[in-house]
Amino acid sequence: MNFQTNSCYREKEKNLIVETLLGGHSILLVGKAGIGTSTLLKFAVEELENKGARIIKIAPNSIKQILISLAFQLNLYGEDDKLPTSSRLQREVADALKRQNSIVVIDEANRLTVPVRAWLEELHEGGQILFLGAKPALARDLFLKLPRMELKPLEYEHIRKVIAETAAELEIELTPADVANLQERCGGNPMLARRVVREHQIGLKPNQHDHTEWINGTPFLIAALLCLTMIRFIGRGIGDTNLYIFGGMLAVAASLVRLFMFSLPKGSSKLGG
Amino acid sequence: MTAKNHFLFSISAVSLTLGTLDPFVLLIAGAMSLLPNIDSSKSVYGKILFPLSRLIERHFPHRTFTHSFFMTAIVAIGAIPLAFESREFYFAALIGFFCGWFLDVFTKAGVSAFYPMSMARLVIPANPALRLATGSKNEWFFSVIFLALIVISFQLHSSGGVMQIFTSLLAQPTGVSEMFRSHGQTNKIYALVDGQTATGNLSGKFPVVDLLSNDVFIIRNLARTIEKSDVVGSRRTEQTNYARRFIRRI
Repeated sequence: MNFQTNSCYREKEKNLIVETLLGGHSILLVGKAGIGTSTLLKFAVEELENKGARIIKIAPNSIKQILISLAFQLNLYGEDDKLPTSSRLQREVADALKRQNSIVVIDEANRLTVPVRAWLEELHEGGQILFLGAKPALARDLFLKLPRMELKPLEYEHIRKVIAETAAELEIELTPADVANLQERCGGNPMLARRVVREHQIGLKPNQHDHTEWINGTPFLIAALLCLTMIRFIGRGIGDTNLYIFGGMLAVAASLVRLFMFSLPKGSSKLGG
Repeated sequence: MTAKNHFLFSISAVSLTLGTLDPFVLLIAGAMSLLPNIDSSKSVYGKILFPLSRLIERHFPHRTFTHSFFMTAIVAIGAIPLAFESREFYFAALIGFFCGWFLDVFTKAGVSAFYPMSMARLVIPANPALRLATGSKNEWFFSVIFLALIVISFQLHSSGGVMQIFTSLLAQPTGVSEMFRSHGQTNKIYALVDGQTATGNLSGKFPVVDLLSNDVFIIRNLARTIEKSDVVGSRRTEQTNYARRFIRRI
C-alpha cells in the first residue's frame, strides 16, 4: 500500500524553493530520514511544472547511465541511435541543458558517485540550476557550494493530520487518546507517524521510540548535583565544620554519580539506532 | 512511570527537601505529582476532569506541554495564593508537580521539558536501552526505592533532621555549639564529654549552659553538685588545658 501523502504541510518552504529555482538559483534540500525531503521535493517539482518550468529528473546512478538518461530526456538521441563517447556526451548534455533552460532535480543526492558530483559541480559553476534532496552531514564538494535548506520536524498539528490521513487510508478509527500516544512515539517525523499507525493497527506496542529529537539531560542532572558542593563552601564560610564535612561528602557522591552516568554505554543518535 | 511511582517519589522528595512529616503537606505534594498526567484521559485526573484532558489530548501529544518547565512556571504563579496560607504548602505543591513530570525523563519516551522552545524530548540517560518502559516490571524496583526513601526521610526528620544526625555522628564540639545556637532557646542540649578538668577526669552526659566560642562551651556538672559551671573544650588535651586555664581564672 502506498502511503505517499496528497497534502503538503510545508507550503512556506515549498513556495520559497519554487521562487528560488524560478529566480535562477540552485538549492540543496536537506532532511533527516523520514522527515519529508522527498515529499517536499515532489510537491515543489509539481508546482514548478505547473508554472511552466522544464524539469529534468535524475536518479542516482553511474555517470554513464545518468548521461544516457539525460540524452533521452533532452531528445538528443533516440533509443536506436549510436551514442558518442562519455566526454562528448557530457558536453552535449551540458549544452542542451543550458539551451533549454531546464532545472535538474535529483532526490537522494547523497547516493551520487564522486564522478557524477564532480560533473554536477562543473554544471553548477556553468550556471546550471540544480535542485537536490539529500540526507544531512554532507560537508563536501558540491553539497558545500549549494545554498542549503534544512527541514525541521513537522508541527504537532501536521503530524496529527498525517496520522489521521494514514488511519483513514487503513480504515481504522483512532480516539484522541490514541493519537496523543502515537504522536509521542513519532515526534515530528511524518514517516514514523505513518509507521506507528500501522503498528497500532497490527496491535504492536513497541517500546522503542525511533525519532531523533532527544535532549540528553544527563549533564543537567550532573550540574544540579554538583551544585550541592556549594554546601561545602557555605560550611567553610560560616565556620561550620559539620556542614563543611557534609558538603564534602555530597561532592564526592555527586562525582561518583557523574562517573557512573558517563560510563554508561551511549545510544545511537541515528534514526532506528 | 505509573501514578503510584509519581506519588511516592514526590512524597519522598518533598519530605527530604522541606524536612517535613506533615501528612497534609505530603498529601498536597502527592496530589500535585499526578497533575501533569492530565494530558491523558486515561490518567486519574484525566478521568476526573475529562473535558479538559480530552481538550489537551486533541492538541498535544502525551508528555509535552504539561510536562515542561513552562507549565511548572505557570503552576508556580498559579499556586501563589497557597503561599499566603502556608509557605510549606506552596513549595510542596511546586516540588510535587515538578517531581511528577521530571520522573518521566527516565522513561523511554522522555518529556518535552523545553516546550514551547523545543519539541525535543529530555531524557536521562541518553541510551534508550537503559531507560524505563512505563508499566514495566522494573517499576516495582523504583517503588521499593522510593518507599525506602520515605522511610529514611521519616526516620531522619523524627530524629531532628539530616544535619543533626550527622552532627551527632561526628561528635565534634563545633556540632554541640551549632546545635546550642539553633535549638538552645527551646531545647535542653546535652553534650557527651570525655576529658579532664582541674579536679580530674570528666566523663558523661552534661547539659550545655552557654557558648564561649565556636568550639568551646560551658556545661553544668550535675554529679559534683556545685554551683560553678565547668568549661569543657574540644579536641582533647589542647582545649581541655584551655578550659582548665579558664576555670582557674573563674
